[in-house]
Amino acid sequence: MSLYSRMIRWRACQSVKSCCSLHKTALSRAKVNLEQVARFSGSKLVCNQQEVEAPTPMRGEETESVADTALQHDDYFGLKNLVTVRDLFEARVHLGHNSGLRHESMSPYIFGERQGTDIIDLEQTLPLLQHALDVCAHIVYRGGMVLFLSRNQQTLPWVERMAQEVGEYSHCRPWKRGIFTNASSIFSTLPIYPELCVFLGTQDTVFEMHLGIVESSKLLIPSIGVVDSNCDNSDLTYHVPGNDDTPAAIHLYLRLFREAVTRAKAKRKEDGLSLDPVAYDES
Amino acid sequence: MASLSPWTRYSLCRSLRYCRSSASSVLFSRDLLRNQNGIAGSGSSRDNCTEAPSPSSSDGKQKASSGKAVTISRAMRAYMERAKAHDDMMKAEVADYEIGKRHLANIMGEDPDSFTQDDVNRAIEYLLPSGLFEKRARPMMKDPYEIFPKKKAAQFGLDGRPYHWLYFTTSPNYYALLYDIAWKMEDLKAEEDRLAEEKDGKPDREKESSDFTLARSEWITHQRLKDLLVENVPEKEYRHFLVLMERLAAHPLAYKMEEFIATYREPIAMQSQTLEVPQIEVDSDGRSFATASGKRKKCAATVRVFKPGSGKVVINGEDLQYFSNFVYRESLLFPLSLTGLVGEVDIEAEVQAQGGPTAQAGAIRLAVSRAVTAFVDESIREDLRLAGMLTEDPRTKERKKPGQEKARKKFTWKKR
Repeated sequence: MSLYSRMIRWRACQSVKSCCSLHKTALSRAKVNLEQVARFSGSKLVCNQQEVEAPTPMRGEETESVADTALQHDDYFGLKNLVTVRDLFEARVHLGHNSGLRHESMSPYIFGERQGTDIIDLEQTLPLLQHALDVCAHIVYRGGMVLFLSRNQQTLPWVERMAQEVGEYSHCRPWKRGIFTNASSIFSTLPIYPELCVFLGTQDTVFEMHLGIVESSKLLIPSIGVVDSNCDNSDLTYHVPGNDDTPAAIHLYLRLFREAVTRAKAKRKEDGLSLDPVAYDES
Repeated sequence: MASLSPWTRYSLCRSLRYCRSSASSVLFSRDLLRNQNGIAGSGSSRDNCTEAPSPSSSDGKQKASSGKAVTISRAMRAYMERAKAHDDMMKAEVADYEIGKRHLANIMGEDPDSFTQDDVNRAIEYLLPSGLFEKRARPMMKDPYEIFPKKKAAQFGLDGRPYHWLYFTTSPNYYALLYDIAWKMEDLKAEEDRLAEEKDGKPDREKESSDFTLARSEWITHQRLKDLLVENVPEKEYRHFLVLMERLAAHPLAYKMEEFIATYREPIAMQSQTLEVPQIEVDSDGRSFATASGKRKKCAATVRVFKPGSGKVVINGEDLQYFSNFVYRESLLFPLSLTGLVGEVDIEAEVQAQGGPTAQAGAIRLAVSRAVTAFVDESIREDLRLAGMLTEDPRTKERKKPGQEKARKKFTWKKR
């Protein structure tokens, strides 16, 4: 793992901690304290096939702790059951590139080689994908902006449509240098950065890496990337080994990320984290 | 002048009364120019788009309607500060402009309260005559909202989230258009597949009935696209847009997207259709006549052509001998011989005496041709147009260049 990548993980960790108003002991707890959650008695919600008393909309510091309590949960948005290895297999996520094109950083995630083609190990992909979806959902849940990036011309309209429909951002066009690193002069405002970049393909052209990866790692913006067997995963914060060329696979990723973002937004509204004035009506 | 310092304005007002020499006016126009250049910008409309709420408190918190404190992002706060500074500056400029206008009215000895922008323009042209060729470089005094470039509204909300989902592409409107085109294309492809499945290769009857064609229009220009998107679109991106639109329009089912395509097409105007035919009027003697005017070089002519006539020609109160050269007489009568109206109409022409006989004869000929169109039918009108009788000659005298004898002619020069 590269230095940048480690720094980003550290920073993401710090920002989450600094947002937190709970005690450190609560943070260190691996599992969510259901009793503590249940203290904010309110509407019921289903998490991980368990019925849990959900925290009610509270104002001020308590809303912060609601978000942090959610962070302690194993699978707060119920994303673990969204996808199985079989789904991945059927969407042809396991198909890599020609073995000769393999990038050395991807070697641990290769299951084997068949007829000269690398086969990606879906047993390893699945937890990484679930983790990435969870990270994405948590960032959205806390009000972060997510930017979806791809340079695949064939699936470009679908990526942009998904981003638009879930109310997030998309950039599938040629990357202008400095969109992150020189943002203040390009946009002539104080820079605005997304809180998470999701790369549905990490290549810009067949020979070059997406410039957005380097820029987001320079600015410590966490990134999720679907990395094929010929791609470098070292500058990404959360990588998901998988096929990034086949439309079926891309449509699967899009469906999953759409679901993650929608669930997170729904939860956000439900838990009263949204700054929507309607949710905060005094009466 | 709106942005002149009080002292400059004062000295300008004083000096203008006494110095009308060209040197002083050049000096003042230079001063004005300098001020003009400092605030240069294309003319723009009055609304400078400050839709964002004004900052109510400095700590970046604002009370929402519900009483809950909403945090304002740093970017938004910075924007709001800048917008306020700009508004203040514009207010000062407008106040300056109003005072300047009153001064100008006093200089011109007119009523300051009823002094309009047209009066200002006339006064400036009179007080600061400029020989500069470029009109925009000449001294001017205009409403600051027309002079200062329009300020861009904030592209993001109070929480710092951009409004547009393609904000990070830096050209959201352009790429949203490409997105629209891409989805229209996808819809057409899906429709084509559906039809192929349904009809199994039978010809599409709907298509035969539709009259979708690109023949009578053309794609909007680069400038028009920029105006439409309110964004800078580089030449390369414009060509990319054209390629995509051509591809969409070439699809066999493109007629289904006719409305969308039409918004990016402009009709081609045919010249013969834009031709304005003068009205036939009747004078006190009961004779019908048509009036038209024409120009050639610096000369302008107004002509009245009377229909039942005997071939009489009056030019500035004289007869055809106003022109001593036969060539000119023949040239101004040529539209009549072309339409076969020689001896059937009378001509009464008023032409400015400035310019040479070529300019005067040319101006009269154009005016006669235009007036005659009122008395002839469509085909003869087209003949006149094809003969070039209805087209104004745009050529004018080329200016003399310094270091040269004339416009093109050089001084005699021998190396040794």
